[in-house]
Amino acid sequence: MSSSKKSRIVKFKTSDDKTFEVEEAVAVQFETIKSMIDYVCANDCTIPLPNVNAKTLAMVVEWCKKHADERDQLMEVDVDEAPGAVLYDLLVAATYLRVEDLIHRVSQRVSKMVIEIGKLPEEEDVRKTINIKSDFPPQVEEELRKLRRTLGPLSDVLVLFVSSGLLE
Amino acid sequence: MLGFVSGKKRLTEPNMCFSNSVKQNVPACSKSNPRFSSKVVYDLDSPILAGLPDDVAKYCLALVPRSNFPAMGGVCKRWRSFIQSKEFITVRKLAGLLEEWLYVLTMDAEGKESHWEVLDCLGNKHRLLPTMPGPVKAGFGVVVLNGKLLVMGGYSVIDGTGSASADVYRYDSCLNRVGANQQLKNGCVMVTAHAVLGKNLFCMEWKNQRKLAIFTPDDNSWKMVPVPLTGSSCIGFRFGILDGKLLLFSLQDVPGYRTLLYDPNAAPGSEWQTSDIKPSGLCICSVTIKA
Repeated sequence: MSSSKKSRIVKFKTSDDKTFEVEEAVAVQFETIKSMIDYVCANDCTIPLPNVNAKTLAMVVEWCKKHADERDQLMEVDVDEAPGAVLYDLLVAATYLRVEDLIHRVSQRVSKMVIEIGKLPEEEDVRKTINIKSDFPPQVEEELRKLRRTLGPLSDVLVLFVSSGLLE
Repeated sequence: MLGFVSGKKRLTEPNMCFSNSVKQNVPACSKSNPRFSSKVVYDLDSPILAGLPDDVAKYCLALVPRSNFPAMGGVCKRWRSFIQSKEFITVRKLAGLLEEWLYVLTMDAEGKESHWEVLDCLGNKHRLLPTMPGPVKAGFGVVVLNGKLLVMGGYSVIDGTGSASADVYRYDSCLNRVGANQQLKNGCVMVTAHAVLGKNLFCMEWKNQRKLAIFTPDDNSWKMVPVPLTGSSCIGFRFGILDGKLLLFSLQDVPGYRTLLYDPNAAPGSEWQTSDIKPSGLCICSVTIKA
């Protein structure tokens, strides 16, 4: 990169107005920022992150600092703590900063949630995590409920709707 | 702090305009019937996953293994329409998750029962497709459009009386579900030849073999195009596709027949041409391999 070997500091301002100092070694993992590090450091600029809050940025930074084998553990802890909101914030931040590996890992976590939602969408806490109301007509919803109860988690059973045409 | 301003400006340009692009990418509500439309009908108020921009949420949904799709289709309309959409296939394709499956229509030894089965590239049998509704049929056409298997037309024999069918059934490989396709239903009866070129389906009907019926899935429209008399006046063609153009091979041995060529992208009026591409015998069927 630059001729100086001394580790530089890149400054960020998060959405909740906190200033963050990040080591260059971490900041280069943010694809979006990478190309502007020289410029930012030379001119002593602060990079604004309007949709990343301090808590989330701290997680991204921590994740980027860890080695690959430790990263998974880090993720486990976060998932247990608060599945929906924290993961989503992290995914938005990772996408914004373009940390490809993190995007992929968090998306995988979310896709596992999606599978759970698919299996038992009417459970209160499952619904809460996605904040989705079923908008199928009441008789369809009732039919789905019955099917899930008798057949267990839905997989191919929706085929049964073909005859009734309820899902058209 | 001049540097700050220019730095910030850069941030709001292409790479960083995440929130902007999300808003721009939401298409207006499609008025066409969602059943065959490749556009997802959006309820602007309902995100796919609350708290996530839709582009990001779509990627998460696309990462789910396909055996879960039918269940996901039972969560809400928003998810269901996304899973049915062409966009879903595109997102899965970009994520490198598209799988190739072989769909085979098989018949038992007595020739009575037939069903579609799905094989993977190792030859493992994965599932049987739900039975196509309606009477047992023969002579139907099969084509794949946007990841959906279409079984078109054909005829059925009930109590010794044969009747042609105009029904088209559509199998959604993601939702594992068969339904009738009304948009196509009124389009073609007893298809004798068909091919998919680009996004469009080209058919030739048994009752009118001098006309090409072209189906555009984007707006669910059929267009009839008469086959010109250049080449020959014979009827009965098999379709071939090469270089984005449709080739009409004759089914009869007519001396001097020149293969007709239909170029859907040519300037209006010059779509029809003749081609030197001609097999040495009659064409039974043809496939195009890109390798």
